[in-house]
Amino acid sequence: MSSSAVFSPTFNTIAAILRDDFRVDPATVSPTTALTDLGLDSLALMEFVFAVEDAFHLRIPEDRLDPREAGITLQRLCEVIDAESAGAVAAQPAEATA
Amino acid sequence: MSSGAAHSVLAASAARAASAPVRVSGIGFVTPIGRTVEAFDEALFAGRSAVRAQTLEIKGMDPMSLAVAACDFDSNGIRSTSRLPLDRGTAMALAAALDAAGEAKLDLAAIDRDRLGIFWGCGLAGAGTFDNTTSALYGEQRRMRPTTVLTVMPNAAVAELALHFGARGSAIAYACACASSAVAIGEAMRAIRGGWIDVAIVGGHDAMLTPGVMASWHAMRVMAPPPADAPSTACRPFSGDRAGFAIGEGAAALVLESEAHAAARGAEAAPFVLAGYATNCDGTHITNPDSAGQVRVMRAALRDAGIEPSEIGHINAHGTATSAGDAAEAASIREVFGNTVPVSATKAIHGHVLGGGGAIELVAALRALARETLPPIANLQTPDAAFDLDFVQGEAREAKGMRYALSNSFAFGGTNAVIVAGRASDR
Repeated sequence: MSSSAVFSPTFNTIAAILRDDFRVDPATVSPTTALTDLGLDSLALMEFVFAVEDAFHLRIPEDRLDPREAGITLQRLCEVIDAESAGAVAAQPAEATA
Repeated sequence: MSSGAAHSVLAASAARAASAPVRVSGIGFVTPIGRTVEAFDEALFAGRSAVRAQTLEIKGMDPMSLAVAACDFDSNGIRSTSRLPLDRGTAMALAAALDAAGEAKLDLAAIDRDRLGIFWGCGLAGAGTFDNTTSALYGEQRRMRPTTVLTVMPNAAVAELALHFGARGSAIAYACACASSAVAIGEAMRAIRGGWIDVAIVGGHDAMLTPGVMASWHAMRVMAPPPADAPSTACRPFSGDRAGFAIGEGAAALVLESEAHAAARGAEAAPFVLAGYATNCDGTHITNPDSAGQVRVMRAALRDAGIEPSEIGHINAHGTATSAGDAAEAASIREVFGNTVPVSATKAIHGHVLGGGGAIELVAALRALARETLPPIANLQTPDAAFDLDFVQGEAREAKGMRYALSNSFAFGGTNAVIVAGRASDR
């Protein structure tokens, strides 16, 4: 991930979670990266979504996004987060985990 | 050689192996009195307590004033080998084990990991994580972490250590409350002496400073109330005015190894050995200790070490500072050793770490051997008049030439475990 690239705040937050909490190499993290290509096993992927839910104070219903499903990209995850955030009254995205 | 003669040679060899000292090649720990030998020694020999007062407030209950000993340890950044979150206690266990393996200079690529074992004790294991996750489940969150089972199970730490070190010999968790890690260490001694494995990473932990777990201990009426003007004096082992223990957290790890394996890998000489171990069970009551069981287990540990009671230079007592616990232990020690062997009790400074207690207290006994100095029993002003023992009071006491120290662990449930540690050079 180039430091000069401009990504959405949502993407930056989840990229920070991947880097800090799941030790994923930032160079392998871009909006087009599939969740299943992050090098995390299925349980770790579910913990990752759990951490994302904590960071954004929302819930991602599994029927909207199952992280174990093939082909789901980080961009798709960002879209779901943004849609859920827009739907939730007074749900402000939290800062990336310090 | 006749078959009879061959048999007697083999029997003699087996008997030697069965009682052989096992060397301590490395030590690591995360404790309320520090993570380094320097910090640990400083608090240990000064009798400086890490116990503090903490007010626990739970909605609908009266506030609870508790005596606790917490570690200065950030477990948040520590992840499992599978990059999953770890229980705080497992993170402490991993940190302690890494330090012990580092001190032992264990080259994982060079040793036969089919003969590397993990023997680990814990009392309440992932109770803290379970407390936190279920309070979220029943509270606002209404969801459960997908890794709850893996972080809460009693062998969570054993599993993590086995994965981290690639141990394939054995990976066994021992859960017998306050004696858990002493039993884990002793059973590893037996496995090494018996030839089942060559080297083991052993120890124990508990991390219990979450609201529900602390409230559980408080409800049992075994925790000492912290005096308002001096909370660090809450736990007063063997004192006439003892009032129970402070709850602690932490982990301690040792690398144990046969002399033959150490020699084969060219390990440096180790200063300490574990010379004897015994475990038994009172078989009488879930909480009330039975002095007869304690007497039997201390004598069995001395026999295992092949030494007389008079050769013990120091006892690190279980010393929980409960009324019944200290009374039984004082009577047991008096019966086995008379009143001439100096007695310390270190829970006063690091709290009761339950599953980690036996390992941390063994480390304290090893530090006493290393420094030839006996740690004082912190907060002991006036010993209970009924106890006729030589308590180390006030200041640390010099003990030049001390060869052996004994560490007691007596558990809820009746399990007793005693380890005799010695100086390697005197064997």
